[in-house]
Amino acid sequence: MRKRILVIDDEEPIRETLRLGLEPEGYEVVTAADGPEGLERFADGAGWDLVLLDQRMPEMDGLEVLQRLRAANRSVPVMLLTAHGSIELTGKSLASGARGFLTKPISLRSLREVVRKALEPVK
Amino acid sequence: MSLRSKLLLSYAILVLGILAIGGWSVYHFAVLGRSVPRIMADNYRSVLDAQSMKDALERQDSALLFHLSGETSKAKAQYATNRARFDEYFADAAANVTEAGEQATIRDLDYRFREYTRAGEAYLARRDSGLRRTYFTHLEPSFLQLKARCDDLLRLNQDAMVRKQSRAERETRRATRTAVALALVTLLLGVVYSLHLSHRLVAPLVRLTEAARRIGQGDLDSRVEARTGDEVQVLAEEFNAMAASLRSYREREAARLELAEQQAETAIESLYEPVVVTGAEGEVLELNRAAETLFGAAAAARHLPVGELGVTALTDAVKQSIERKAPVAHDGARGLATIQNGAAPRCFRIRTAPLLRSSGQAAGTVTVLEDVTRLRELDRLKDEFISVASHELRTPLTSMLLAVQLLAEGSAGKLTGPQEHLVEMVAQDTERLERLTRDLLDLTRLEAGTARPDLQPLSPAELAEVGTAALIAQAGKKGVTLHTHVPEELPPVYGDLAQLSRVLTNLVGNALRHTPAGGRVDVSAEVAGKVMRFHVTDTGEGIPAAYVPRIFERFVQVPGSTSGGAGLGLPIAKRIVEAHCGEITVESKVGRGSRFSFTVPLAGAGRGGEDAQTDSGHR
Repeated sequence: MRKRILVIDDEEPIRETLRLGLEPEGYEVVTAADGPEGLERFADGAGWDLVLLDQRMPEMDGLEVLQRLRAANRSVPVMLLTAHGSIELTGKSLASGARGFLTKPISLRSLREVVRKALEPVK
Repeated sequence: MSLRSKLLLSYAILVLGILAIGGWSVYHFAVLGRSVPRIMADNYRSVLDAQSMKDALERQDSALLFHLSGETSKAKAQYATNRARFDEYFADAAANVTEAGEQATIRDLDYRFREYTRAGEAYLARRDSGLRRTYFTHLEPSFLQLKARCDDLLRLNQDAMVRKQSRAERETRRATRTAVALALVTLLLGVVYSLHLSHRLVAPLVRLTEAARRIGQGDLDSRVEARTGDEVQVLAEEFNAMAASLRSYREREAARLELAEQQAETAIESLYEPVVVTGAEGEVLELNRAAETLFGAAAAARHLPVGELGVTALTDAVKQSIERKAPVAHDGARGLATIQNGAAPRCFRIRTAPLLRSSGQAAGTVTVLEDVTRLRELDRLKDEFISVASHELRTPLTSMLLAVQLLAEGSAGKLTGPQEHLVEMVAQDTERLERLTRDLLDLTRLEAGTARPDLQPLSPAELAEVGTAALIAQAGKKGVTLHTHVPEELPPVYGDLAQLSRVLTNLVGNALRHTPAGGRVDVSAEVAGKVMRFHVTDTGEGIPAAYVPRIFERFVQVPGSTSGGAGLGLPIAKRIVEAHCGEITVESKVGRGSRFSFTVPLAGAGRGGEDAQTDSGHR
């Protein structure tokens, strides 16, 4: 069964390149253009294996989306996409249940590696 | 008349006086000495003559008596002998008449003697019985009268002698008194003249001394009047000339000083920056207008300690400058002071310079407070701009990077040869753009102090390995030997592994970029006191001397050099090293290569690491 990845990012080129970069690896990638849409997709019912969440978005920022996601489902790993991480943000995100970070820009190789690791069963 | 002539004249007058007295005395006493014995001798001879005449008369009388007793021949002989003796003495006495009345006595004596002689000779020629009567009636009375006359003569001369004796004594006493009086008068004159002369000589000297003292006390208008016509006048004139030239010199100096003071004051006053002048004890001596606006005029008027101005950084800078006798101008936050005056607080950079005497002692300080509020704001805006711009660049870069890598791997369909080449170029430049934005962000954060080093004890060997790992392949590809010689045994340093390895990466990457194929890059480390010193040495093209001082600034590229970096690697390295309380230096020779060195505190060195924390915490 194909692993399902939800990408929530307000920038279309990011969404598309992430999708194009991950699909050849055999994942099913669904994209959402903002927080509300992402939460909607997430609530579709189908099980998700990973959420890639942009930290900086208009209307609802990544941290808020993360907290809402966690309210609905505590186990799905969520990775935050940040342009430049800070210690403060790292602390807050991890406290809110983020699995890790992807610092933009990221190379195709690191993206695939990080995603693969995130999808490995937690030992 | 010269001083010498005056002295000689005064002595000459005294000498002449003494000579005159001496001469007068010698003459006088000589006269006295000569006249007394001579006069006395005359009288004495007359006395002797009188005595001898008496004696001769006695003998004649005896002869007359012999004749009476019959001894006629004996009588005649004795009579003749003594009559001749009498004549002899009488002649002598007659030739030596000195006294009044003596002549009359002589004449009387002469007359009577002739009578006596006639009678005597007649008596001796007789031989009769009447002889006896003749003798006693005529001859004996004549004899007694003659004797009395001789006695008169004798007495006369004796009296004269006594009289002359006492007169000589009187004259001698008078001469002595006169001589003493003259000597006293001369002495008095000499003393008076000497006093007068010495007074006249010394008085101008005393005035000179007083004038010299007044000049010493600063009264250069002092002059000395000395119309003595001698060397003292010359001295006084020279002295006055000296005082005059001293005075004009002082006036010139005072004018020059006043001008310099005015210049300095005008310069200080016209500065927009506040200026604080203090004395050696840190007391405020002067504030320019800008400083008065900032601190109020009271501080300078009352010479308050600089601490009363309430600006700690200023107080510290003044104290340090006086202690070290050197200018104080701290970089970064230490040299800044925020002063609230009126509406908005303003930020000042403090620069203090000591005023040093020629002896090297600090006489005070001058502090300029440069208002950097606007500069700081501009700096903050610039950093913010770079940060936001880089940040905003990174989002499109993400999709570009992913897209070009997808193209390159053929996920979007197989590429033709030229397409692949083009995509490769785009991929390279996108990566470069990515590095540039990352470096800019890092540098901004390092400069802002938000990227604090996470200090841990680190093994230098591990550091070197991590720092060079990513570059070994690049070196091999370029044909440059990359040799790392950092022994495991070296003591640990205190630092942030990620940051310090980046310093090495930047330095080695830089070295590789600027070293042609066949060259070599060496990484080494050594203990130097309380720090570890790392070296990155290359055999590359080197840095022209003109660029060496600026090589650690942002975007500085040596024109014509092998490019490739964005010019941010060295500034980042410098910031990281400084955040670790180390220092980074470079030595370079064009055509021979460069050697970058940086220091990191040893883990056992104590405060080094804490300083790094505190320092970045300040910013």
